[in-house]
Amino acid sequence: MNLWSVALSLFFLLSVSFTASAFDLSGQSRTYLQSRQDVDGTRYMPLYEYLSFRTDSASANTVSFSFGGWYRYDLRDEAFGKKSAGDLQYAYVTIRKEKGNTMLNLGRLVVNEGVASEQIDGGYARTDLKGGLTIAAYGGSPVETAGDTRSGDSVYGGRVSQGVTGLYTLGVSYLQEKNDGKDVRKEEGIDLWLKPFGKMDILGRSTYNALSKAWMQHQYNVLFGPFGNLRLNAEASRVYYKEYFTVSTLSAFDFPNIDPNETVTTLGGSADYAFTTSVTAGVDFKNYDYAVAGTTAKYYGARLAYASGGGGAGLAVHRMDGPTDRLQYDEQRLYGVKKISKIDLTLDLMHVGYQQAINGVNNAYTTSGAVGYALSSKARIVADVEYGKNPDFDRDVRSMLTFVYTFDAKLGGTDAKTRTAGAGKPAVGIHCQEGGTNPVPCEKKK
Amino acid sequence: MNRAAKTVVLSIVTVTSVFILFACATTKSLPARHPMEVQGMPLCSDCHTDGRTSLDHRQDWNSRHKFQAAQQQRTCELCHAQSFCADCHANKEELKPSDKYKDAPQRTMPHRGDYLNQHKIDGKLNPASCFPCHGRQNNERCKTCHK
Repeated sequence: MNLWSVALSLFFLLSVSFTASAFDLSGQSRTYLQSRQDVDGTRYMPLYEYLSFRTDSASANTVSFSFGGWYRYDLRDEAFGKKSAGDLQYAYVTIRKEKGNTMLNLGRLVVNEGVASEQIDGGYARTDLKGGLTIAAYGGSPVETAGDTRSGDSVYGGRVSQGVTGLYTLGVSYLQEKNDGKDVRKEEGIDLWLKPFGKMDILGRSTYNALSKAWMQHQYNVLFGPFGNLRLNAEASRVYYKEYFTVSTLSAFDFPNIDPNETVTTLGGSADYAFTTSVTAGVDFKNYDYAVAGTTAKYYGARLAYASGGGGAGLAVHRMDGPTDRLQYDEQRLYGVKKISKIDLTLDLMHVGYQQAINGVNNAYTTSGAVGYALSSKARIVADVEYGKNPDFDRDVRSMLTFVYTFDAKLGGTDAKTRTAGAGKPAVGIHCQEGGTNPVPCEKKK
Repeated sequence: MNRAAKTVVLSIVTVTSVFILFACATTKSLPARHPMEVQGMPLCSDCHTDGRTSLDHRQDWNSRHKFQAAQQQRTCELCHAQSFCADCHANKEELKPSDKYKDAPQRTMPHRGDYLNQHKIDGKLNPASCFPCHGRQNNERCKTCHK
């Protein structure tokens, strides 16, 4: 938990430096109290606190600090073998320039750049260059499930891209990771965004394992439309298991638990049609083709959704048609949300029907209901309960109480005033997350 | 010219070129936050007509957002705090994302309903879909059985 100390120290240091000028603080506290039972009958009651906030210097808006983390204490037993647990999700300082999208992040952060989708303790920098070029680089110690000590562990890399606004972006990226000083990952990638016509939008990437000198995967997605109210989406991917599952901290991904020679190719697509601004319907399909096993699996179905300011509803029906008994099932889902003043009610029903019984069970059911109440413009409380019957549980009942509080204040400086709850404008990104635990209705587009 | 000398020359040329291109760059930085609040699943094409129309959050957004995040994380950060991504993409997590948002069934969230049984099916179907989130991180719970 030393990183928590480092993060808090960093925050207080920044706070001191910010006191010369005002700064904005915005964030959210989410508290969850869950009640659930294990297969052996042990009942757990973990209490979670998730805290996230961000500070921005109010004047120049060029320096900010972002923090996110959670802590859990079990009120009854030892959930997951520990009475308490926690995680520092991110804590980093951002320094931005007003030109060139030049920025530097330092601390615990997440890097998404081409082949990299990594959480690191280190630094990340990026900037625009002349001619549509951008360059990004990062380096630090990887944050992964500990298999050994972090001594000698490092990860670094970068991405260079070039693009023409509205037409294309082409990127090349590189990642190198060392464990105990030895190379365990060397990945190179190309990524692409291309909009050759107004009605066509291509996204994709290919990743190459530079240690074994072979492709790891290709993933591409093409969007067609809209043609009136119709949008079509096609996707294709190929994963080479031997190159893809190279470094893992979980035995489930080790060979021979996974056949190293297998290559799986997926082809799929979807079509969505908006009948009105509130009602949409869609069909989707995905085919899995296994080169070594010589088998295929097909997943297909249809969806119908309704959404309005007063609530929403959805219906989905899907079928999995695969080469084994377990890959033969039907699934259905029906949900509804109704908002009545400050109260919202949610009901969600799911059913999976297995063609061959698993543990003597042919049908798995999950039913959940939730009631939410807006205590104020900043605070909201939700109570939910879930009932399940499936191949692992004859009866699985779990419930949760959620309290969400959003805060927003202007601090520091000579003319600083702390905003009272409800008086502040919601901060973008904290409040405007689609979903029911959004306590504050965001300001509508004009 | 030996290999070391070539590497030094190439490095100097590359760094110099980057500095020149940096010095000549005139783009104005994106704001720290999107200047206008957006609600729910935003359609960027309502206001923008350039490449940002590709960021429309429609029904197919769930299958496309990973590409956009890998190419322009900075744009995502205009509207989304890091905590939004961390709800699903975390190094260490005990609560399923869908458990945190039982009151938002319209959101596409992984592992809804009975996932203890379903993960055995999905894992056989396409283990590569599990790997990005659980391959090297967020797998302490998995280790209870997968020792």
